[in-house]
Amino acid sequence: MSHNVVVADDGKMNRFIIKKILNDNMDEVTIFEAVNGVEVFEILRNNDIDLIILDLIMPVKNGFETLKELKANSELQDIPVIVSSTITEISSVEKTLGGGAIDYFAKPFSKEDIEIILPLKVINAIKYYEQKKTIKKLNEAIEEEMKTANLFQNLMLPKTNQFSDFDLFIKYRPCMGIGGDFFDCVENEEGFWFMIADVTGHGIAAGMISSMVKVMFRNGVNDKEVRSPAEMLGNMNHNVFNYFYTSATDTSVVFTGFVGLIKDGELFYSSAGQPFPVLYHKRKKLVLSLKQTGMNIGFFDGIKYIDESVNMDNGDTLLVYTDGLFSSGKSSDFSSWPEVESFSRENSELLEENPHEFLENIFWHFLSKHKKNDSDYTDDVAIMLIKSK
Amino acid sequence: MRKNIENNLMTFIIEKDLIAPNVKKMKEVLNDALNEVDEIDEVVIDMDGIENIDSVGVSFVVSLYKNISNEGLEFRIVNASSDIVQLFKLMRLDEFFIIEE
Repeated sequence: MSHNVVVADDGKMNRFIIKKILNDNMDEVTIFEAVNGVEVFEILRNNDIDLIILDLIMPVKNGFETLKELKANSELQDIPVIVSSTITEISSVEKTLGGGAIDYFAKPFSKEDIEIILPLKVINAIKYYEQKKTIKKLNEAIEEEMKTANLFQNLMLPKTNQFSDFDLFIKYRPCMGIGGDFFDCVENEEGFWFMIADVTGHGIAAGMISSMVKVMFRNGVNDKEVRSPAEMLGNMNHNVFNYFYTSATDTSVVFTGFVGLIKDGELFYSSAGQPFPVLYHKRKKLVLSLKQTGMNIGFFDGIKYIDESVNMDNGDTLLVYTDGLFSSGKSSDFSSWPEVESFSRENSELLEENPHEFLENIFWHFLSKHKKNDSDYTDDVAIMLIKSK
Repeated sequence: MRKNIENNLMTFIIEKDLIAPNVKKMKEVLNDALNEVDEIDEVVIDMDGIENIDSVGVSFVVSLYKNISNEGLEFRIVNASSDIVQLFKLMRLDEFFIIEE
């Protein structure tokens, strides 16, 4: 592989020695010569450079100024710079290494410098730059993929103003740009179907499974044989074993979920390990948790889920959320579930009058608790409010 | 996590909460320990030191149960807090293995 190296030194003999060292120790190298900092930048304008060997004392623009300018330029700052100088006092060495030079050597060159030290410093600096460029390229590719995946995931979210009988309010924050939390709503002749789910793990793998959950949910809504939320969850659980070919001992495709169907002022629901949703009854000014749950989807094939129902009148609001709300890296636990109910009770007026603000407040309430522990959300967070009009 | 083997019974005493940040390390330790032994009839998970559990922790317990029962061994949880017992019962995991407070 060919490399381009700039040798910046106003001493002709020094340039000659360095060029010889490079030519003797590198397979393919193109050397650009400069006698001051201005010429270094001219070379950089027209060439991709892999290494700069920079003398400190030069006319017009010296090595200190050149190094400072290089490191301040976002496009050039990663190019490794090895400083060479006759100045050997420690303050100069400190100044250049502290200013971003990768290495330093003193002139005049000794025999060991020419034969061993300088060739190794050059090869190491170029290797380091190659690795850095590879990592940067990979990171850019991953970032681009994440952006696209995030776009797709946002397209999967329900639109908040598309339903005739319900208002929807959503707060969604995946912890890695794309996440395993999912929700969806469908209004049809049967009523208003919705689901919230939380795939174990986060990131791209969890995002892929959450896409599959959406397809299973939509298929379930359209399946005339699926008559209730519990049947929906039972089918999904069975399909996980069909679609993902998980073995009897595997729990790699696991998610919690809550499915609801609201029709004729009644909420029918079933849960697969989801934290307890909270229902606010406007007329009774009552806040209650729907304390029913079943097994996570993907644990065992053939599981039957249970349907329950509760009255949900016009103006009532249901809060569903994922357990990412509690996860901070230090604690993430079942024991926090009741706190969502107590927070909702204390803020029921806000929940009724300004659902958007309520969502923000509950998000920040738990975030501020994490901050007290010097942590942050470490899982995807999804919170959804469904308000019957 | 500590391990104790006595009379064909292997007990794991879990000392950290069963939550996502702790589970990965526990998995490695447990799998290594299970691969090492032959003459075991039952595996017991002692949850005396656990206050909190999340969905990753529950998945870990179920995965462990599946692996152990697949080997033909008995599986039991002991010293679980009343909250954890309540959660496991809500999830109907008590239909698959014994959970003792």
